[in-house]
Amino acid sequence: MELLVVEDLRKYFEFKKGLFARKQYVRAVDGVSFSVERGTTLGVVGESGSGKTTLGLTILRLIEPTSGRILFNGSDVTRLSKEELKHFRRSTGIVFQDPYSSLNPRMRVKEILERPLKIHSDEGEESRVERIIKTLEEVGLSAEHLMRYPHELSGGQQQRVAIARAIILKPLLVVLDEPTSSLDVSVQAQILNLLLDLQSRHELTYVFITHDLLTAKHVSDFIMVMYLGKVVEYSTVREVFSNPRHPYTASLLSSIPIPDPKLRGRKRVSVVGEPPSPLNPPKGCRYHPRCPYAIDTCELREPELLEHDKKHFVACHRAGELSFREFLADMDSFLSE
Amino acid sequence: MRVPEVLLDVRDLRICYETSRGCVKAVDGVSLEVYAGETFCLVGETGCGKSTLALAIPRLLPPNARILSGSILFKGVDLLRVSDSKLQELRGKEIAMIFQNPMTSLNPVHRVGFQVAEVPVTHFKMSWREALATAVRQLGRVGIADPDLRSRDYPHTFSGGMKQRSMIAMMTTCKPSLLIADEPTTALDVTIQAQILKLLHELKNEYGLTLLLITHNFGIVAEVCDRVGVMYAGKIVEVADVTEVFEAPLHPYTKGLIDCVVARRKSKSRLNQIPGTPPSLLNPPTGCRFHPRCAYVTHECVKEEPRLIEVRKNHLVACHNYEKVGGVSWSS
Repeated sequence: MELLVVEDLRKYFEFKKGLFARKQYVRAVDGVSFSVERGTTLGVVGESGSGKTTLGLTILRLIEPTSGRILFNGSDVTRLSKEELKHFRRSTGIVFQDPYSSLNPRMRVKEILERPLKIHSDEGEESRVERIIKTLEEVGLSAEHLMRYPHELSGGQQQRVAIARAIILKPLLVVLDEPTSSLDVSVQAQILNLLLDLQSRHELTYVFITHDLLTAKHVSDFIMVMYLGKVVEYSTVREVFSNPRHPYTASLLSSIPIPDPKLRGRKRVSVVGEPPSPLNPPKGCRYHPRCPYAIDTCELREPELLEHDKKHFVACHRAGELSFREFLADMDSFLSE
Repeated sequence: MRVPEVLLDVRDLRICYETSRGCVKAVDGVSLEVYAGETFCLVGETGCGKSTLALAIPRLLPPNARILSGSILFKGVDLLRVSDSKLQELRGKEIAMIFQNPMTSLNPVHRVGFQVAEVPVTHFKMSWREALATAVRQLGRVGIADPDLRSRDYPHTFSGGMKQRSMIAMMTTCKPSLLIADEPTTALDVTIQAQILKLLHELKNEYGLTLLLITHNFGIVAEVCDRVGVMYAGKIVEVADVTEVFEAPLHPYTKGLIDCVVARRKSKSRLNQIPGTPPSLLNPPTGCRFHPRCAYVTHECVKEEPRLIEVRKNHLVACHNYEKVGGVSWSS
């Protein structure tokens, strides 16, 4: 069953360069549609400025969308009443990249975790503390951490507290915005294991936002690749990693530094230059100035996100004819399951 | 086989930071040889002392750092004992360094071209006119489009990748012997990271540079390095050729780090994890510093600190039980 359905979601940020200047818009999320089934993980990947964080915040209505629909369990999140919104807040959680800046430095762990309980349930103090300890144990901490301040915890422990806060109300959907990016490699593995454990224990649905494709591959069932506010490719993990159809996806996969010295001289799909400013995206296909496969059509017309194979959506004029299999053959042991 | 020429020879280096809570031994008895023309990677987690070690080479340590002992020989000259004026001559000309965050290493109030041109003006007494032309050429070489135009811009108009390219241009105009790169791509996107690594590799071959690269990313290690030194809690625990490190690591920490890289794991499977977190360097564990997190720990490890010894040809390891540490348990 689909827990989350997003239809043509847009979020434009307005800004002016001077007092009397004309209004301009940054189209951070520009017509994004997807759905996530209950208990699965959607990995959202893209480089900085692709709109992936804005997307995560918008689907939880932490920022208001400009237009589009967000159906959560069948009801439209964009039109909820105050009471319904409170209920929606209880069924969702979010974990941010930097655990230290997402925890209030003046609150103890107990107070941080007590906050959602105070707002959303009328339990007494004793049962609240009991629930907090239970949740702390679930994320690999214990009662001894209750009275600590965030700065007394290591980065990994801070992120565990942030995860505890996100799951303490037993939500259905958790948005994870780069939850392991600021952590050390050995701690990253611990946190990824924890997230996967929690997911299978509570049938959680994740939207996992990351720039690290290998992490996305490890945790996700479906992958959505974003570029300058648009979805360029969307399919199952297996499809995206073994048979990418969009040149941008292929070049992202080629750019991953692979931890195997034998693969150094492998073939790669190149990408030219740097991402353009989202303020003034290129006409036609937004990727065409960097794309080694661009043809005239790409400059003129914006490609639609179309289904090419079953459940494999690609927004590229040449999706039918391009194949990147030969480029990725060397990396197969890393990219396939 | 030709005996490789040692360009940089660090011997028994000890550095501590004086803090209000005591002396933090960031680098504690590190010895290391970097050969001319190679790419040597120092890899380790946050706080293992890799950046401190790198900063000590051109003597750029912050004021609260104290060098307790050791020497750093560069082409036979001890950088820790050389006069300030001689050091100034070496910095930028013989030894160059690029940092993680290119924004904070470029001066925001000077034009990019000027900043690049300063280097040959200082070191080769080049005229400004000539130096600016060199700067434009070098900016073009590192892949800045319209270098003539862009050299007159200020750093804030550059993207992160272009800033790092400018830093590289600045640091390579004098064709130094040693280029130290401290996490040069960590702040950049993955496609830009690939471009910058490729550029560094090209420049290395073109100018015959020796590259000392500091990173925490094993992917990058595999992509660009010849030899690897793994650091943990202020010590070097293993040094070996890159293929050897990936195929037959001998230190449990190295093996653990490579094992917990997600790359070769079946999706959604449990990753092998190293329990716990790196220790505080204020009060490091006794014996082997890795022993509280180690799966191979014995009584000896708690009591006695293992020395870094060559156990196979060109493969050094500091572990009492290295013989028990098998290859990598990749489940592919």
